[in-house]
Amino acid sequence: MAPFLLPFVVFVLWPIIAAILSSFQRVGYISRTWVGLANYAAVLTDNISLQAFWNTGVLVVWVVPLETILSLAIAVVVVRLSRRWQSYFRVAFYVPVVASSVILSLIWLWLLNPVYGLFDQFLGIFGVAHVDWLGQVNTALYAVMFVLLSTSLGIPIIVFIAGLNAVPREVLEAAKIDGATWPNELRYVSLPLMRPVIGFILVVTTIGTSQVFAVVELLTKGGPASSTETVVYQIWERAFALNDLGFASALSVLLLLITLVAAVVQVRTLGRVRYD
Amino acid sequence: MTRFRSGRAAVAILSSIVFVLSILYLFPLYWMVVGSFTTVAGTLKVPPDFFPNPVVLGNYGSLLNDSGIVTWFKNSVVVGCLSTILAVGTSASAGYALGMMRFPGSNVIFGGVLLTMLVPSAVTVIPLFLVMHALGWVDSYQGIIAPGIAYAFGVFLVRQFTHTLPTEIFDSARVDGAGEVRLFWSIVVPLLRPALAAVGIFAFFSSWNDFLWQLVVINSDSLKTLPVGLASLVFSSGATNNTLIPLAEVMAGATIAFVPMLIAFLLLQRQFLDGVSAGAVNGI
Repeated sequence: MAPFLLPFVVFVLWPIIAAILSSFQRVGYISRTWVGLANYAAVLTDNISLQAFWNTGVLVVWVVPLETILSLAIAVVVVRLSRRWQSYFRVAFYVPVVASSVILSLIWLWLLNPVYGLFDQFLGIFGVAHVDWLGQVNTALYAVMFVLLSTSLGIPIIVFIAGLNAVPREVLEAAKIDGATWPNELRYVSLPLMRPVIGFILVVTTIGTSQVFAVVELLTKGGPASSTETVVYQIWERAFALNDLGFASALSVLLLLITLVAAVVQVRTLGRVRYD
Repeated sequence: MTRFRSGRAAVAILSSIVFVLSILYLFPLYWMVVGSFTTVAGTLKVPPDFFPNPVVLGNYGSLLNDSGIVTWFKNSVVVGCLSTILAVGTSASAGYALGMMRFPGSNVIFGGVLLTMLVPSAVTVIPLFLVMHALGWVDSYQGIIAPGIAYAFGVFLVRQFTHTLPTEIFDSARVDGAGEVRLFWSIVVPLLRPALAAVGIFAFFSSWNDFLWQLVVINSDSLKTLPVGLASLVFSSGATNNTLIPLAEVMAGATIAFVPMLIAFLLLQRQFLDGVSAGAVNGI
């Protein structure tokens, strides 16, 4: 136990507690002073931070359902196929996850370029004129969202395929004998059994999406005009560019609270995630 | 898989759509490789060539000469290997202890481990940085590696896996006079191998692909890892989203970072994909 517990306490548990403590303090590298709720007051009256929470919320509200529904739809089709095709699809959709969001962001920086980016030229075929997706206030957040979706379907698809394959054969046979069609089988048999798995994926994707950083740092740096500013990007800017560690800690604690509440709500509504 | 009569035609159509989606999904990575073998002028060409014409190696050459990619690669390998060894070690011992032994506080510890898995890692970046500052570990290998040592997901995975092990073996080994340490090394570790392989793969990949923490903790050029180095390649050009970015070189660098992981993934895909679904799917 000890080789785990010591680093666990120092590098995992303590930082969580320290984040909460620092959010009530003015934090320097040497000294700390208690300032009560001043950091929170500062966060909640700061326009950029509020914008960051709003943007992160918009991302979660769009990306989490889209990601879940898309990957569930793909998984539902893939489990009907032969073993060989199943493993092709599992690999194909997981490869971008292996590549990491840093590498994919770099590629999208090129693909989304308004002059020679392939994405723009593709849309040009349909008569859409050059659009600077990442450079305009009203499109940048949607471009970020698109890039996120293009990198993150892998894990939910793998999990859903495994979940659907774990539905007992006898249950499916019984449904078939009772004359169930494929949509009926999905609606009344497979998907109800998948509720805990869907709940798990909702929680995981919510936590993942609310933590967006690499895509923003590499594609937009929060701009233009804060339109892609996210909470984690703000934490990074406040703490390490502006040196306001207390303010950034308050942001962190608010992010933690919101994600935990979202996780609890999702798990409660969709059934418990079972751990053993 | 049971087949439903009404499903056949629908499955054929839908699976074609999914197939097209999968190709689109992989396309950016293909485009990265194409870009890495294209001349700088070629990456700016409208309309573009879908296969590099001519195929050039110049981007790789200038990348090797002008940037620190060799150092970045070396650092990523060193950090990745050390994090993996440490994470596998702590996950094996803690996961086994939590799964097979009953001791006071074991449930509390496991609950704590599960809870920390729900905490976004961005939340602890600042206090972690202050801890490293206090230890004098900012901008050092120890600083990059330390947060990954106590790998909660690994502990969770190993603990779940211990429930599939036959307890009789342990009892008979104890009867034969094996001490707990001996038991752990010669019986538990070999039995845990599938779970430890998954933990190791994930630990290595999360270290190889980590961005936020490495960006925070690394200052000097000589410690930069691949993600941090590649990002600096973009930003050192002083611009985002315009023609000043050395695209062809960036694509070559991204390809160098990606290919070893792709090979590892294709070789180890079973352990990988089973590991991903292990935590989520049980008890249906």
